[in-house]
Amino acid sequence: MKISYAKSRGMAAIMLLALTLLALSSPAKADLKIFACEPEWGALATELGGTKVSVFVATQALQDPHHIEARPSLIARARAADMVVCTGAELEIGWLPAIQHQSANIKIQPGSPGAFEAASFVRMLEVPSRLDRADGDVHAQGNPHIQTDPRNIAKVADGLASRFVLLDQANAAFYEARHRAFSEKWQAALARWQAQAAPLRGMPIAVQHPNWAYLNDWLGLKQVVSLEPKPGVPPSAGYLSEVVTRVRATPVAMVIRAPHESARPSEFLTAQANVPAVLLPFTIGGTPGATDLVSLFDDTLARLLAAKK
Amino acid sequence: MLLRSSTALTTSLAAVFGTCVSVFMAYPADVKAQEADLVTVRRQIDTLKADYETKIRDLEQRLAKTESNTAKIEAKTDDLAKQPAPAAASGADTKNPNAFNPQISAVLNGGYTQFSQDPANARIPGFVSGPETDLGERGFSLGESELQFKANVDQAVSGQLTIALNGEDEVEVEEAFIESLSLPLGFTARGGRFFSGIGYLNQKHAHDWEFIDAPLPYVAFLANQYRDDGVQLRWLAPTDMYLEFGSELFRGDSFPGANSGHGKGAYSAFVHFGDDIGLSNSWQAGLSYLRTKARDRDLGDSEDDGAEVFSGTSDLGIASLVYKWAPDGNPTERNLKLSGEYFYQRESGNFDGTPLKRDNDGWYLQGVYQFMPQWRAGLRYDRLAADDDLDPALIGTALDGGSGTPQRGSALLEYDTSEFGRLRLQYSRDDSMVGEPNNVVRLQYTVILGPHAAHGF
Repeated sequence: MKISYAKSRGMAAIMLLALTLLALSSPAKADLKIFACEPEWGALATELGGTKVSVFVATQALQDPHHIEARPSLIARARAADMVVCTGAELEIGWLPAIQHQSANIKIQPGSPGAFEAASFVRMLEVPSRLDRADGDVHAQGNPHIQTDPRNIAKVADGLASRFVLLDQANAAFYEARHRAFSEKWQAALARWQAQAAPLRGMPIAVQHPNWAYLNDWLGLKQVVSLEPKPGVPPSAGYLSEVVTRVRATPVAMVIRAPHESARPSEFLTAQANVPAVLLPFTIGGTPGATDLVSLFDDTLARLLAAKK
Repeated sequence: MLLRSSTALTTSLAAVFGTCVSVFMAYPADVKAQEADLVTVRRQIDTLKADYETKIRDLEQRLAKTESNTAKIEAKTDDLAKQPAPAAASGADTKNPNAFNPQISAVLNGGYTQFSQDPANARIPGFVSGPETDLGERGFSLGESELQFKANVDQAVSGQLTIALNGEDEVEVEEAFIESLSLPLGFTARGGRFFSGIGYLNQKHAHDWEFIDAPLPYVAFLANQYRDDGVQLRWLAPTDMYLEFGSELFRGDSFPGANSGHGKGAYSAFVHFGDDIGLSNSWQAGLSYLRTKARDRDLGDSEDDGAEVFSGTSDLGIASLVYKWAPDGNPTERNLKLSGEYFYQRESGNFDGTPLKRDNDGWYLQGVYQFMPQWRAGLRYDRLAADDDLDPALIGTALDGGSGTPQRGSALLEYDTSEFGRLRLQYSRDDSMVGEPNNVVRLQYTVILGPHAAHGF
């Protein structure tokens, strides 16, 4: 009897503390709170939502979006979010489900309107015909690195703008107007990039990790070889020397990598086969020049064109 | 509508044309009459003209309206075409009756162990050992295999079942619980059998531990891990810093509790909090409390001889701290994880009829460093201290710790074939048991088949 009395007193104390903290916490603000998994979706949410959204970006360009720790700070931010804007297609499978679960936030659970998956709005490439972990880090729904093709950004923008309207109908006209303005800006930029990138069509390249399927598709680059024997499997010395042999037989113009990847395999290829190593921003903040969505592609093209000369 | 209007128009035009024809044919007969007739006809023509002009205006309006409607429909069709078909987006074959099957995964492990002292005689002096805390067997052995099923039950509840199969072909329900999915305000409720949320390592499954075996305080105070049948309520505070409170109520039959009688003999409370320091550092701390009640608790694995029996309560407090470092927050290449926990236990009651009140403590500190992809190295130190102020009547019993301090040092080398496969080599100099220090070498593999839940911090 004594125990159960102490027990209920303990429970009551916790509930009281919880309610006090709840009362102290800031009242709900009018703007839509966005938890963006990657910088590109954070930037897109800001483009479309303007002052009506507040955006928290969970990762930055030097982090590998496959491998993020489900840190306490991320759980706290997800707790307050009205919406998570992520790539999906299993890119964040190693950490986002833990954050969604621990956040105890109904609004952002998988399947709810507040869980936005960019990959569901684009045509997926490299969808595997068989699923076997012996093939490396394969994703059932296809290659998840969709943000390297600006045409995908436009498609995701359409989806995200409608989702904003759905979740915040009071500001529907605002989101629609910003979406129109963004689309016009983006179409003009696309035409400019298309013209700039003409000399890159058909250029053979090597990649450090198969991150670039959508960039290749957009610019017509030919991926000759990957420095990973299988996606996500670090290269052994033996495999790298095989790559050198292949690159000597089928020359490539450059080897490209993302900022979160180690420079060593690319540098090895440069030293052994005289292939220029090119760092592309991959996402916003990946290079000093890639400060927003437009400059992300400006900088990507500038770096590819500079390396081709 | 359009068709009917045009028929009306044709009829009107025919009438006008007919009138004109009749006017010309009648002209030569009588001029005056003809002139009067002409006025009448003109008036008729004017009326008709006004009539069909109205009709044409009406038609033009209708046509414009139809055209704008068509444009709207086309715009809508474009919008629809931009959105993916629902079936394609979900990627699931909805006709497949297995589509609703739970996520199933299995964890396999096994290995080779070498002891310099016979593990069968191992016992920590000054502590009563709980069930399943033996050191394991010499030579090759299969570890505990785990089978896990997990799914959402409906919009409100999820369920998870973990079955453990040990090397001796015994089956055990390790965890089986349901959990709320849609409680408001950051609350989560759980019920069933589950690992308690106290401490840091306690709620992690053994295959997620950094080292192959549990640190000494977990072994001595909780028989490796505290798990029981009961309920749990957690609340995540709406703060920018991570702050979670939780409380649990348990049946109370698990070590250090036993035969609690009423079936609700143990309870706990805990708070976990944590944050980042810059891009590269993050931490989590916790304070936990567990109260258990024992009635006639026998020595762990010995036969039921009525000797060395404890009745009373155990109050356990745990302070935990975990710190992680990864350059720029990117753990792929290199990362470091440091963790340590301090345990303080007060036992009060009676042991073999002798009144007992004693305070014990213990702690561990460990660090694991990933120095290149796939490779990790670690060090751990753990120790215990039993209360040395013992009633003379209890000298010579299991509670008599003698003069030594149970302690152990371990070194670890790990190679990961991928996120799903791991090989570990661990050396321990174990000075925590009665007798000479034991040099222990363990080699273990751990693999995961099927989907694996995302890792917590």
